[in-house]
Amino acid sequence: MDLDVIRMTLPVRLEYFALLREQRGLDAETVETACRTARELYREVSASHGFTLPEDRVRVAVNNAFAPWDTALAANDTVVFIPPVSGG
Amino acid sequence: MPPLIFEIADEPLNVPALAASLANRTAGALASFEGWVRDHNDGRQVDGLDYEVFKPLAQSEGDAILEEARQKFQVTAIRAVHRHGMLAIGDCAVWVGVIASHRDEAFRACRYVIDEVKHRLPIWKKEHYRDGTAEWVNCQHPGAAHAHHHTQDHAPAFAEADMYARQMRLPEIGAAGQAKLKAAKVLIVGAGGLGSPAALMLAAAGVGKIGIAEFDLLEASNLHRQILYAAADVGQPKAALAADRLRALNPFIQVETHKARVDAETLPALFAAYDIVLDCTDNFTAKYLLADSAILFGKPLVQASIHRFEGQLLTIDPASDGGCLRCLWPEPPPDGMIGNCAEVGVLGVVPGLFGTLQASEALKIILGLPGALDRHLLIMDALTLATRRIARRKDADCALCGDRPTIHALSRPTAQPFELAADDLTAGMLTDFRIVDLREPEERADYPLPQAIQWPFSGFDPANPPFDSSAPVLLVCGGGVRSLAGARALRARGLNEVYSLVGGAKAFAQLGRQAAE
Repeated sequence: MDLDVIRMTLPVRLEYFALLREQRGLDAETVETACRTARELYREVSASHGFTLPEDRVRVAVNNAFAPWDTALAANDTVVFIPPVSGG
Repeated sequence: MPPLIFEIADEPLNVPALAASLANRTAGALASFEGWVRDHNDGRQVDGLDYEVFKPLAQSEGDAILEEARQKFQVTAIRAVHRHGMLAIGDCAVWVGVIASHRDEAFRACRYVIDEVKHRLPIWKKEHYRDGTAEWVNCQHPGAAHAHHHTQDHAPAFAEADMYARQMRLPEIGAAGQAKLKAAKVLIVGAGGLGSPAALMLAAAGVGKIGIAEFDLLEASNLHRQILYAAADVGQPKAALAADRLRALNPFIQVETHKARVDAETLPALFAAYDIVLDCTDNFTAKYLLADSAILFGKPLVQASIHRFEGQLLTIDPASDGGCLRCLWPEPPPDGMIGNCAEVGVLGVVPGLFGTLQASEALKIILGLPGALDRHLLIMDALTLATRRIARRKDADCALCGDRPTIHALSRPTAQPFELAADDLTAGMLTDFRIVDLREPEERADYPLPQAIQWPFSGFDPANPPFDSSAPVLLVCGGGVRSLAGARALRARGLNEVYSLVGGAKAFAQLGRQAAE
């Protein structure tokens, strides 16, 4: 069972913007993840790094297009988490 | 006497009487200016002057100048008189008097009025020279007197098309494109960090009508990014300053100011009066109102928003399938979740970049150039210079622009409640609030609030609260009666973020237990 999980991990490029960038302390990183959807991945990194924005306040883009949270991840996808901003 | 009087006088001016007419017990300063007929001009000896005034226009223009000065400066009253007819050397040709509480405003308003009178009033003077000849000289433009015997304000000595020669050379623009720009009407909401470069670029490009919606006064902390303004302008209304700056840059275009706050009352007429709107505001409330207006009133909106070193840009085009702001983020986040420029800071060049991009998007829409952002969101980080152009599409479930919309009108602000019930409060909100216990010492044993500031109601003085306004305050008492009275009293003192907890300390104790669970 453990072996299966390990085989299922995917390399995914993650980018963070605005508040999420500050809370992660990074612009971008490549992770190996067992998560199957964008939602699972957000929850995972959110828990690891103490993100304060719930997923309903954030949008995800997969490979340069906004995507639903249940979008399935594929190897080498670029996943970008984007909160709204309001400054001027 | 009325506070603004502008007159054209046929008789010699009685200067002491004019000054005396402004006497007012509330004023601490009178600044006055007298313009005299001198004995030379342009190297020629002058014996006297004959002023000819086009009275109807001079009166309305003079009235307008005084009204502008009243809006720009904190003045009590202004009186200005210009002579008409024959004057001798030494006669007073024009007098301006301004009274105000403080001398700075009086001096500045006086200077403004005389400068504008010299620039704008349709007055010609015939100079009678010592050698017996005479010549008509336009008062408005002494340096270009013979070229401009008309009433054009600040008319430069070149044709409008000369300004645009370099962009008209582009085959995509040419004379036809320039005519489209001249016919275009663009409203800029917010003349701040984004609005400054956007307005300057659009005015320079020759957009025929530019509206500036801005209610704020200029502050020193604006200057690092709001490049419409100068240090000397601090304290003055930004809308009028912006309009002056744009008219100085391009005297051939029309600039209008809208000084009311944008809301459900004012937005319908604003959207009706313009073709394109730029959202250069700095808060979610305004951004969602503008996004809703774009869809409800059917006009394209170019939105930009900044966060520290990065920004976002998108165009909401009601005619496109790219969707709106609510397709991306259906609701604005609660206050404090994201942070604004005042809270988190901003590098001035970042709104500079994005305001310029907003102007670029507006020009693309007007000129029909390709690449508009109606189906993408642009994100750019000024530090890494990483740019992403992310595709977006209308969300069929969007409450504003989806298949079955539920938003049919702009939301109106709800009055801020005085009371909060325990159900309204989350554990996260409680950490933001400062808790203030208004109970007397002997009541506190029932439901102790050790983390609260103790402020017994017997010693309650709304003029001297034991806290400042840097954080919201939740007042708690035994049952919610004293705390409600306290909240009302403190709000009346201008502390807007003060609330009363319904149910008092008992309700608070239950809240604490829920949070712990």
